[in-house]
Amino acid sequence: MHFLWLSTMKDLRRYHRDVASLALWFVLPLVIAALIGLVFGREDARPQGLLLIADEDHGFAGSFLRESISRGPLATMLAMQQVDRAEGRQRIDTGDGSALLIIPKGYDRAVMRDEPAQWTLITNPELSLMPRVVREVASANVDAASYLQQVAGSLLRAYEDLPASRRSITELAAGVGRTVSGVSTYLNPPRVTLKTTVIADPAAHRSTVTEMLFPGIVLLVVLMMSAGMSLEIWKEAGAGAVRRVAATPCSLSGFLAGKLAATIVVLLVAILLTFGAARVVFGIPLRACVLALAWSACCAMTIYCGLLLVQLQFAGERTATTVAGMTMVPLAMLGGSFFPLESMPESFANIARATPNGWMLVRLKFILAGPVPAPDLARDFGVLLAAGAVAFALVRWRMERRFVA
Amino acid sequence: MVQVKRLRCVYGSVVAVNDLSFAARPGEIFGLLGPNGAGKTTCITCLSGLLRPDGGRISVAGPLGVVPQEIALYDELSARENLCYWGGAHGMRGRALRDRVQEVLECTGLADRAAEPVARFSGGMKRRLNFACGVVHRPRVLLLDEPTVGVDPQSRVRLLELTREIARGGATVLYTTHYMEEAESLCDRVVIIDHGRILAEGTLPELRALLGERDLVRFSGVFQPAEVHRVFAGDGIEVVQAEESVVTLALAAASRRLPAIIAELSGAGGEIRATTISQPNLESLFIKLTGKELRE
Repeated sequence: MHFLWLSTMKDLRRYHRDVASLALWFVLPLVIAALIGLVFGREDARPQGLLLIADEDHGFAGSFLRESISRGPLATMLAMQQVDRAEGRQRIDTGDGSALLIIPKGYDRAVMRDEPAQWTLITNPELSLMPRVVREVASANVDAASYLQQVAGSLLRAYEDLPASRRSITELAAGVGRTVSGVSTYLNPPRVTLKTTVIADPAAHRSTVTEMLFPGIVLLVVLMMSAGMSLEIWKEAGAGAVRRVAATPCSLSGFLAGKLAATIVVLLVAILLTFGAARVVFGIPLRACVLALAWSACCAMTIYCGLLLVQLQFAGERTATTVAGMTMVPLAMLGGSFFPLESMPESFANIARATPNGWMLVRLKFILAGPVPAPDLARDFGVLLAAGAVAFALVRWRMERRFVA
Repeated sequence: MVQVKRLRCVYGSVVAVNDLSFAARPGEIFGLLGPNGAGKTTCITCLSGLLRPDGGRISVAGPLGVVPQEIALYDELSARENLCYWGGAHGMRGRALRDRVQEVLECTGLADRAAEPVARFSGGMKRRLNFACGVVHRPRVLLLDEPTVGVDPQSRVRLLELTREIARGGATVLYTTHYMEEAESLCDRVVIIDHGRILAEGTLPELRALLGERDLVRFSGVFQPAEVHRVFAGDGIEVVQAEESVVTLALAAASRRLPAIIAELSGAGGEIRATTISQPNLESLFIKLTGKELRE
């Protein structure tokens, strides 16, 4: 225990006296966050999509669709453009647009005659969120047409069968009105009601890009600083300090544990500063800070041991350093530290969640977002600590084989 | 006390130490002499417990101190912090550690620089501190692995004096070096090893006796080794070394017989450029035992 304390203090002193290199590792992720924040702004992170409509029927359904999108909250999410089928297809193929909706000629007539009719929706394969929104909107419109057929189908068909000179849209409207009134006895008061529960007040807070990225930045700080600090082992081994420790009555485990403890202390300070910067500079609201710090510390332990383990697979410092960098950067990019998981295509987001740091990131987000059920929390902490312990044991073993024997 | 019996260490297909046996007593400075690659460091590594031997038995009685060849120090820490760390690693703490650290700093002449980061030290100062870190915990067995490599003469003298002091205090000192004059001035007993095997063992007088009362004459120039062996066969002259650029002969009353030897060597096609006559020493013994000079 005494040697653990000695080793921790030794490494803390060393870090303190070379604070410039630590500062570089710390500042870099914050600069990235600031740049991303500047590029995307601090406004609401609301996705904006472009819906291309090829309306070949020029009828009631197309008008209704445009009306339903241009009014209400959808107007802020979806922009519409009228195109012809060929142009629309070409633009979707080149990625210019979220989706192309084709309303074929004769659609209105088919609806009135209760005949099969079909809209065609072509979505951009590069995107996931906006095409889904468009699909929902289109589906709601198709459902509305279907219900209209069910309730007022006979009126519509009769209207369609009249000669053009005798058609009156006013009479049709009055007829549909009478039909709806007739069934209103059963609808008013409604037998079936929809109860909506608001689980969070959307007006209270809306996420900014910086805020979505914040947990990723915390993990990026941990990744970059861990990578930098893990290189110290080569310096010590090169000087013969690891062999010298092995020749004392103290164990290499104590030596390694001291390094780990010092690293966690430094990383906790860095994470606290990141939290502070997030709160003060970007105004990000932080919840469950203590728990988030504890989670971040456990992540730091596992990441540090993991990066050490990767490095110790190689005989030379140069190769090990290169490989550590090659491990760290793709992990950071893929694991949601450079791009929020929310903005990734679903397939990439799934990969991101499967990376070690992506897994840590998702849970950090849960912790920061609000109460996490205790059993889930215990399970996640257990998994993380177990992974860290395994990595520690492997590093201890590799260190002896690499530097001592 | 250190006892080594039939020690054997193998790296892949290379036998680094082969059937090595010796014993070093308390208060004794025991020299392990040999060129680079002879197996000295492998032997020390086994003794310090860092390498498991492939055969044989090692017994080390008492706390062990190791001064490695590398300067195993932390550059960012001060001399005092380094000493406290390595003393603490051997279980020392509190006032006893602080007092001992101060004592060692004074012995090594580093007391006035104790608070400075080691990064600012000269090579010689680092060597002295490296030595101090190995003895801060008052070991009963001290393994010194070429502790004076690359050290200035002043620091070397101080390190050798410190080693004598530690031995006078009753510790067993195992000293590896390839500096013959250092071993001659420091060690009570010596083993000469090469290619992992013991070539000779004993006190300095015992080892000198192996050469007899003969002087060593060394010629440098251009020679024909086969001719040299032919010319000096018998005649009370021993050809210790015969190479194209160096010839070493062992003979009694060398200075009196030198003109005749030069004439014979010239007659054998040799071209002499320089000649030195020396009393028998470890270096000449090494040359006699191995037929070659110490490798760097």
